[in-house]
This record gives sequence, structure tokens and C-alpha cells, in this order.
Amino acid sequence: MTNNRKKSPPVKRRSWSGLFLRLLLVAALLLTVWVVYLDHQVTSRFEGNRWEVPSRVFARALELYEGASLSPDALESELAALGYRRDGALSQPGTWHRQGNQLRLRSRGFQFPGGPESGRTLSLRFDNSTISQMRVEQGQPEPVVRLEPQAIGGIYPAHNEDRILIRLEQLPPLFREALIVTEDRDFADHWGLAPVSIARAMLANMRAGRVVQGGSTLTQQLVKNFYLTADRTYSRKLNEAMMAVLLELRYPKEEIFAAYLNEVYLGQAGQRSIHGIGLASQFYFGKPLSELEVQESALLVAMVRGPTYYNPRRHPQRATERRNLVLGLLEEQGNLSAGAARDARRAPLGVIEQPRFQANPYPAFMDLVRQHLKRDYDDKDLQSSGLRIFTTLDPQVQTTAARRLSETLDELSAGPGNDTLEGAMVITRPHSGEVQAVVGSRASGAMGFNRAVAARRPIGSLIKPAIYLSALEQPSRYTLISPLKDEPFRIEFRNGDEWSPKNFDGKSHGEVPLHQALSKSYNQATVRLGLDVGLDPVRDMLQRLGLERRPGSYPALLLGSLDLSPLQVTELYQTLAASGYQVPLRSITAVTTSDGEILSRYDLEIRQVVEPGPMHLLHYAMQETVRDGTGRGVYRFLPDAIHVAGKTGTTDGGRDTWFAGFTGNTLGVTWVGTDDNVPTLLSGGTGALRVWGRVMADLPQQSLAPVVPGNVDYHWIDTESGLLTAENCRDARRIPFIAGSAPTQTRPCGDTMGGRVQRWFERLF
Amino acid sequence: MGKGLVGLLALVLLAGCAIELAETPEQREAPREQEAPVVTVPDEPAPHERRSGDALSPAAASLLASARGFLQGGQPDRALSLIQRAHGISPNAAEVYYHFAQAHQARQEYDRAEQFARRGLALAGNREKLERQGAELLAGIRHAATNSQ
Repeated sequence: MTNNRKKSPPVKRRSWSGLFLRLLLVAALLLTVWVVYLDHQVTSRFEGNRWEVPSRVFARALELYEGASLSPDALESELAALGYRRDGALSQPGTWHRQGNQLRLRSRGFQFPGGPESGRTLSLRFDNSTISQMRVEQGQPEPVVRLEPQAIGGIYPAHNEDRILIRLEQLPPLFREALIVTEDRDFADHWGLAPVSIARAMLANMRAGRVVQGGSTLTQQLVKNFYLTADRTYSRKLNEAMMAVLLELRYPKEEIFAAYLNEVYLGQAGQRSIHGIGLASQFYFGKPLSELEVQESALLVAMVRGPTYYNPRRHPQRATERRNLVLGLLEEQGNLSAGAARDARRAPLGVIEQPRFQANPYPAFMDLVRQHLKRDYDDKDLQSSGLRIFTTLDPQVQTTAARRLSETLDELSAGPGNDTLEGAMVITRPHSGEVQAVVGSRASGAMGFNRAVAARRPIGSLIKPAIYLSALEQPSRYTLISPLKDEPFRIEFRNGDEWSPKNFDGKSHGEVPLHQALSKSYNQATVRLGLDVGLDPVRDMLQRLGLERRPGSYPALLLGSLDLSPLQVTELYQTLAASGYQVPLRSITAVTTSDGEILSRYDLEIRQVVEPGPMHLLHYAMQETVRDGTGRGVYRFLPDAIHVAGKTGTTDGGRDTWFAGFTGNTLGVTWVGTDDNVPTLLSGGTGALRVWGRVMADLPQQSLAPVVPGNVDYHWIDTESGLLTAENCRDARRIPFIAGSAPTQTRPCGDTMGGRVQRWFERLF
Repeated sequence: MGKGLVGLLALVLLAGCAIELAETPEQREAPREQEAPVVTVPDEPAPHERRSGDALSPAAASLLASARGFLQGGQPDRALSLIQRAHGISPNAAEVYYHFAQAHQARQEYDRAEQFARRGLALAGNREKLERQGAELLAGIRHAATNSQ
């Protein structure tokens, strides 16, 4: 024991130094762990995808070519939406100039899914709302030129960070210089830290007793924003410094610089935070980064220090002063001549008044886009992979439809009992199934219940074309002039229930020809026809036309006791408008990566489901509907020269009013009713049709002109007897028949020569 | 002199008709804004009974020409992008559908190709040359489809 005691002092000495060594070792180990840990943090986030970049959604691209139906005003508003500036000299891409019917523009070019479209200088002449002449003044000559598509929204991650990634090549002149001279002059030489700046900042902080100044390099700022929280503590500062050094050791300056430009926080738009100079350029100036002028670049650089404090929309004076300070620094460094600096300082801020993009300006259409995207993409990819989604939305059609629907419902609501009216509309291109517009409510642009997609309502008489088409597919049994009885009758069911269909006007019309029973929408004649054809062929027909679910087998189906959304109705009518070819509706044409690599294409598909003959006959009767039947209100809005095929629908008490109709280039389906299913004083012809007519009257229309199939012939028919007669005879009408189904007997023309001449003249004018 | 008189008379008559047309009491709603609706009326007299689809517009024709280049170069996907743009411009022209058919045939999608060929044929109507082209195309697609099985 004593021995041990005696030996203890040297041991103690050794143990002190040993302890010191051990502590040193532990410290070194801890330091290493710390560095390794930070290094891991630095590299793991810097490799691969650095940001969750929202997907960008684009509208259709406007095609410019000789003969295109486009007014100079419409082109102007498209250019305004794209952020083009008026500039007589067309000094840079994204500029335009108009003189009367002549418009010149310099397009930007765009990476489309099918290949790039280069920027061009175009000269366009307009006549009667048509491009009558187009000349490519500069750039590759092309007879058809596309403008870049409007960005119409994004699919955002939960943290609402938004950015458009940029590459250094896209920087406008002097941006780099402005940023470096203002924020970090030694950027090219330092190792992530600038000791002189730090010393200066520390001194200031010690004097103040708290952290008041930063001596941060761009690298440190990047580290702070990218990896760390916003706390101003010394430990965080230490982490920041070490990580900045590690970042500099690991990655080239250029990569760090590019990351900085994409990370920097530059403002707030509601929930959405604006990151990176690519998005900031769009947010503040409404144009791509590469088009920024030097004073605009200087403003963005000025805002880096405090995007809220120097917000040019809120504090233009402050922002201008700091912008000019940046311009002064550029001048001092010899980057900007005195004259250029003076001009730049005098220039206005140039900030657009309202942010050009709302997060989601077309919510009803975007619902549909999301629905379609869900088939192939999961939410995470959409929110974070920076995909580019190309849609079919036509902003001009969409804006017109939303505005007209809302106005018309305001007007209809002024009547008694209609104050809770709501409405929805879907507009497509009949030949391609491209959805151009979706209006989901009276309050356009508002999020909320999207009636176009989600409200399923009984479709009433909109079902009738399916019944008549089923009948006309049997030319040996039915033609357009087959007599139908529009008379009361009763159906008795096995359980003792009874049903006796009534007409809208409460009257019966006796024996009527088939085409008239459809055009006047007679219920009694239609139900008889439907029962005669059979419920199954009608149910088949609905499915062939595009109905996904097989409807139940009950007689009331024949009067449209089938709940569908306006979008589903559009699917059915799309097939009618495309002459019997099923054309799936498309809201998306392609999805690409941010680099333009195609991930999915949604190409046009068509599949014939109805023969051309019966389809042609149905078109005939549906055109009669708008000329002479329940839909004749159409011509209060459209010129006579435009042929239209359509159908009205009304359910009991005007609870739902529908109109579905198509011209040669547009299909529109409209629903007007109330959400709580109360009666209105409207019918398909007064409610939904009025919306349809107003919208269509504002859009360029081409006449419907179906091609007569080879097996269809037109004959002059005496409407009274249903027999063949001659042209210009009294009551003669030209009616199409599928070969072999026309009447063979002729009724002599009981008309005098004078009468025939008179009728000839009547027809002529 | 006589011809001139007849011409004048015809002009007066037409003018009379025009006035009468303009004065018919149609309660058409005037568009409320200045932008007048754009109306494209086919210039044929009786659109109800036309026997063939639209002629191909020069703009669409140029896109189809480029599409053929890609088809010949073995790039049917790029061709399809151009054909779809042509379709946006001339959706009623048989030629556009024939090009669709060729692109799908090149991708060995014979069912699709046949659908487009048939739609094109329907639009070719009574235009003999187009009809012949369509019939040959359809026969070729069916032949290729049989051989591929």
C-alpha cells in the first residue's frame, strides 16, 4: 500500500500529460468527426438534385402562319401575357411593335418537346382578323412559327419554395460583375472565408454586444441558406465557416456560384417563396433572366441584402437608392461607362405591377391536368423534379369562357328565383380532343367546387342523340323521315309502378318524322323509339361514344335520367363532333424533364365507333335542332353562315339546363343550374344555351361542314307524304339517306310553274 | 350596252336583296366588345352536301413536308409532333390523316395506322387521287400488319 503511495506522484504527472494527450486526441477526434459530419452534409445535399423544383405547367403554344384566324388584338394580349415589351427597334428578344394592321415581333425561342423553336423576327400583316401575310425578317425562315407557351402554374412542394433553375450561360451581361462587386469582391480568390471581412464584422459585433454585421462571402451565404437555419449564433457561424471551406475544397467556384444564384431568396408571393434569380426575373420583370437590362440586374443584386426591406413594389425609393449604389460600384470598377451608368440610374425600376403569374390562375383546368397526370406520375415527382408539363389550355378561350359564363349568370340571376345559379363549361377541339378551357364555377379563377369535373347531374335530353343514332344504325328500319308517334302512353312495371312520359310543353304532337322528334326534343316520340330500338343498343351506344360505366337498364334512361359531369358529357359529344371517331380528351400533350427530355407523350388517338352514314344523318338532325328546333336561340349569337349541330337538355323544373353543341372547330358543353338542386325558371334553350352562344360568338368559328359519306345520298322529299319529289316543289326538303333506305315512290309535284320559280328565288336569297 | 344594262339591273337587284337581308328583324345580339367575332365561311355553296374534306393549307403542307423528312430519317416520333401541329391547322384534310397513318405504320402500330388511314379516306371523299392514295396506304398497312403476325 505504502509503495503504491510512494510511486503515485510520478504517475500523477504522467497521468496529467497523458490526460492532456488523451484530451487532445479526443478533441482531434471530435474535430474530425465534426468535419467529416459537416463534409457529409455538404456533399450529400450538393450532389444530385439539389432542390425540390416544382413542375411547370405550360399552355398551348400560339402558332403563327398565313391564314391563321387571329386578330392583332388577340396577338397583342398573348404577347402581353408572355411579358413582351413594346420596342420599335426590336432591340432584344421579347419585344414587339404595332402599326395599324402590321405587327412586328422578336420571339424568344423555346425548347419544345418535339424539338427546339429558335427565336425569330417576324413581320405580320392582318386582314379581317386573319394573318394575311407573314415574313421572317431574321432567323430561319419557316411558314409556321410558334411563340413560346405561357407558363400557367406549377405543382409545388409542401414547403412552397419556388424556383426556375438557370445555368451560368443564361446570365445577362454584367450580372456576375454586379453581384461580385456588391457582395463578395474576393470571390474568385478566397477559400470560402474572407478573414478581413470577418474581422471587421467581429469587431462591430463585439462593440454592439450582439451580432449586427455579417462578413459573409457568397459561399458562406450559400451555406447559410442552403444548409442552415437563420439563427445568428456563434456556433452556427462556426459551422457555416467550416462548411464554406469544405464546399470550396470540394467544388469548383463556378458550380458554387451557379448554386448561389439558384438558391438566393428574393421575395415572397403569398405562400410561395421566390428563390433564385431565374424566378425572380419573371416575378419582378415578367421576362426571362437573359433579357434583363443592366439596371434590372442591379436591382436583383440590390435585393439580395434584404428582399423585404428593398422590395421594389413596396419601397421603390429604397430599392432605387440601393440599385443605384450597385450601378455606382459597377461604374467604379470600370464595368460600366459613366454615360451608361447615368442612363441606367435614370431608368425606372421597370418592375411589373402585378406578379404576372398567379400560383394557379386556372384552377378548374389544373384539376383536370392533375387528374390526367395522376395516371402516370406520383405527387412527389411532380412536386420536386422540375418537370415541364405541356397542356392544351388556350388562355384566350379560357378567359373568354370564364368571363362570359360569369356575366351571363349575373344577368340570368337578376330574374326571379334564379339567384343561386351556378354554371360550368368545357371547350374542346372536336378533331383532336384537346381541352381548351374548363370553367368550374361562376367565380372564375376561384378555387373550390369544380362543377365541370366533379358535379354529376342528370343530363336530360342530351342523351337523345345516342338513341337516335342507335336507330339510324338500322337503315332498313329507320330513316330520318320514319314516322314516330308523339302520343301519351303508359309503361307499367312488374312491381306495379307506372310511368307516362310527358313533353316539355305538356302537349303531344301526333305523328312526326324522326328528324323532327329529335330537333324539337319530343319526349313521347323518343321514349317510343328508344323502347322500339331496345335499351341495350342504347346503353351500348353510350359506351361506344365514351361512357366508361355501363348505365342501368331502365326506361327513364331514355329521358336522360343518368348523372354525368359536364366533362363526361363532353367525352360523349366529342365522339359525335369527330364524326363517329372516339377521340380521348387530352389536357396534356407531353411531359419532359427540365432539360427537355421527353418522359411521356400524349399523342392524338382516334378509334372509329360509329359508321359515317348514321353519323351524317344524326348531324343533319342536330343541325336542324339549332336551325328550327329547341336550340334555335343559337342564331341570336352566331351568324347564319356558321353551321352548328347541338342539343338542349332540361331536367324537371329547370333544375339542370344543358347545351352541348359544336361548330367546325369548337365543341362546347355548358351546364347551368343550382348546387342545391332547386328548380329554376330556365330551360336548356334559355339558360345553358345563352352561355354557350355568348362564348362561341367571341371565339373564331368555322362552319360545321361534314363530308357526305359515299353511301349517303340526298333526295328531295315531300315532307307531307314522305315520298320523293322534285326540287322547288311545295314542301320539298332535301334529306340524306343511307343507300337503299330512301323512298322509291315519287309524288308528282303539285306546284304550278310560277310557284316553283318563286321558290327557286326564295332559296337563292 | 345591253350587257351593261343587265349587269346594272343584277347589281340593283342584289343590292335590294342585300338591304332586305340586312333589315330582317333578327334580334341577334351584337358582341358587346369591339373585338368582332371571326367568321370563316367555307366558300362552297352547300356545305351540307360537300363530298370531300378541306384542302390542305400551305402552312400545314409545309409541316407535313418536314414530317416526311423525319419519317424517311427513321424518326417517326419527331414526325408525329409535326403532323399533330399540321392537324391543328388543317384538321379536315385527308393528307394529314395519311401522314398520321404512315407515322404509326413506321412505329409498327398497325391498328392505329389503319384508324387514321380510314379517317383520311372518309375525308378524301370523291377526290380521286386522294382516294387512290388512301386506298393504297390502307392496303399497305393491312399487308404489313399481316406480315408482322
